[in-house]
Amino acid sequence: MNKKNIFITVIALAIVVIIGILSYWLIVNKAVFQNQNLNIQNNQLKNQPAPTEPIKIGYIGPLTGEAASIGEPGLAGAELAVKEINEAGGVLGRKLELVVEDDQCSNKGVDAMNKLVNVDKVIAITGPDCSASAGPSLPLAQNGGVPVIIRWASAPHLTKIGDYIFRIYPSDAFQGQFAADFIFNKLNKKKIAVLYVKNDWGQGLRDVFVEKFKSLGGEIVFDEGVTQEDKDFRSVISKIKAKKPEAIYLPLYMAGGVVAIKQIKESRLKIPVIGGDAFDADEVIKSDFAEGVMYTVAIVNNPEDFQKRVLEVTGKKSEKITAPMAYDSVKIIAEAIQKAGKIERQAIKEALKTISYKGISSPLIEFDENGDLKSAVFEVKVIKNKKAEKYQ
Amino acid sequence: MILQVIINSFITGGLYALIALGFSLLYNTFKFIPFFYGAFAIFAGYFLYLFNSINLPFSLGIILSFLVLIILGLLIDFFLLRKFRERKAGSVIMLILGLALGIFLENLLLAIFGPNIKSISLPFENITFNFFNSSLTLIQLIVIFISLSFLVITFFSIYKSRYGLVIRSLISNPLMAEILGVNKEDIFRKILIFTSLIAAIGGILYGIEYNLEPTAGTNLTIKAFTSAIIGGLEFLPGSIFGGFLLGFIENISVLFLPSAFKDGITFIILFLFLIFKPKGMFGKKTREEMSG
Repeated sequence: MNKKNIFITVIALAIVVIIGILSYWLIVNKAVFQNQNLNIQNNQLKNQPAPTEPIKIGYIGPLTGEAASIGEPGLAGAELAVKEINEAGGVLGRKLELVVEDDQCSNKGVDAMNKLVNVDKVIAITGPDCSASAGPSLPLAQNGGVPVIIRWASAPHLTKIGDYIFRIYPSDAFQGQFAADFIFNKLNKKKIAVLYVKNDWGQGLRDVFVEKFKSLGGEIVFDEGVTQEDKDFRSVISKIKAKKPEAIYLPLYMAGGVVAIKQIKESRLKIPVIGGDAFDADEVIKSDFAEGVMYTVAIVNNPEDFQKRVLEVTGKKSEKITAPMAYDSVKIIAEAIQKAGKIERQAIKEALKTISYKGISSPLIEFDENGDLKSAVFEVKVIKNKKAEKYQ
Repeated sequence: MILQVIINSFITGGLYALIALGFSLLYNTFKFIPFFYGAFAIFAGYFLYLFNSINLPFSLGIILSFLVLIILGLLIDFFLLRKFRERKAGSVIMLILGLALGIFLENLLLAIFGPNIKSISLPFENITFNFFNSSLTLIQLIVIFISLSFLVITFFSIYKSRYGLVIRSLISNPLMAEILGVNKEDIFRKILIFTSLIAAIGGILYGIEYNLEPTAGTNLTIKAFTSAIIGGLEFLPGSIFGGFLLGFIENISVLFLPSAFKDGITFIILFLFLIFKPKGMFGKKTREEMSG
């Protein structure tokens, strides 16, 4: 072993020792920090928080990433609600405080939820906006016993996660029923083909639709699912054509839907096509083949004077429907706390179950036994000249 | 209905066949599985969309997309494939390279054009021909015509021309071919131009028929790979047969089974061929296998 090697070995050993000491120091100190935190929390729990301290409400929504454009108006709506409540004297004499977490409309929602439930120990949560974030994160809230009001995520199974989960956006379950009712009673078509995308959304819509349509006395002559990536429906359409249905219910996503509409037109299958709210996108509406295609979509109001108020108070634009929903959700939480009479999660949950609130996004917000919006209102839109119009 | 399904099979199969031809040509000459080929083809569709949206004439847009794709192909070769070829990279490295390149191209599309679906609008009416309760559009007719004519073209150019002989010699024994005076790099370049052209045609037709999505390439690659296996990876016109056969299997399976099984059927076919006929429908035994 020459001198150089010994030198290197010594240096390496020294580095290892230093790192070891450093990490030990960090671990010990971290434990101290955590103990301090725990002490604070314990004190809070023991003494009941001082009356001056604000009530913490969690907010989860996409603030960065591709869906940020729907998340920012939502936050503005929530901020407006908090400000209005606080200016009016707060809830039970205490002010509200938003703890804001970004979920990027992805499974980052799990981290956000974890932090709100276990670290910030918020009293209730508004959000998330997206099913992709809500699906994996909501069980944390349920297990932690924190009431949650989901806003935009519409997958039917979300509210079934537990009794702490509520939603102020209509569940897709209602959408399927509405579509069945519309086709049977308004369009007066009794023989239907169903072609749906096999995922949470499409399967959910299909199940509810088929059940409702059969109970109305209609006949499902064709019922098949396709994968989300599939774009070749010609032979399926030939098969549908042979069954001679009077209309097609087509809950497909945009990419598949646009192609399916085109191939239906090309196959000269001249019957009404009714899609789901995924068709409420420019890709479908502006397609060359979408003339006459109908789809169901939930009505969520976003009145102009509300948008003005948000702009005045928070300085942010709020043309997206996430804004009134976030506003309503905070107001509902505040009312539930008021109604419960105490700042306790379980009492707030019980209060939410029986709440009746005149909202901005929906005229009357009440929750059913699943925690879903009772008064889900949908409308049918029809595509004419590359524009979506209300069906008359 | 049966007639319509047969026509549908030809449309689907025609597109698979085109991509599969380019795929197996690249595989045979460059000696690696070009998993990036589908994404590469989709690029052409996106370029046509781009040229369309800046209001260039449609025909000029098509020609420019061809050119751009050929240039892109040559660039990929110049900066990547050639370097690995010179270093005599092993087949695993080349396999990873193909996959990585495919992912890279897809993400490039995602970064440039965004995740939304783009559709190419045609400047002319896509006439629909109706006969015996079946229908076929002009574009679909073009798909079938082009892929069938490429079947004929490749068959004759590979098996009847002098140039085909050179390519075949390069495929069966590259070292010997080089010793006998074949300019390998030159042939490689020409094959790359040819396969880029096929990719461009396939990508544009795919874009018109099924719209464009950044991830569409992966599916196309899988279908091309399966077609090439069915037809025999080492027998060039076989991949075109394979493409058509795959189109038939997929469409006819829909008649008997729920359509969600379609992709499953594709893979079952792939497995069956890999187990029982790994050299494909037309695969011949090699000399070593015969003697041994």
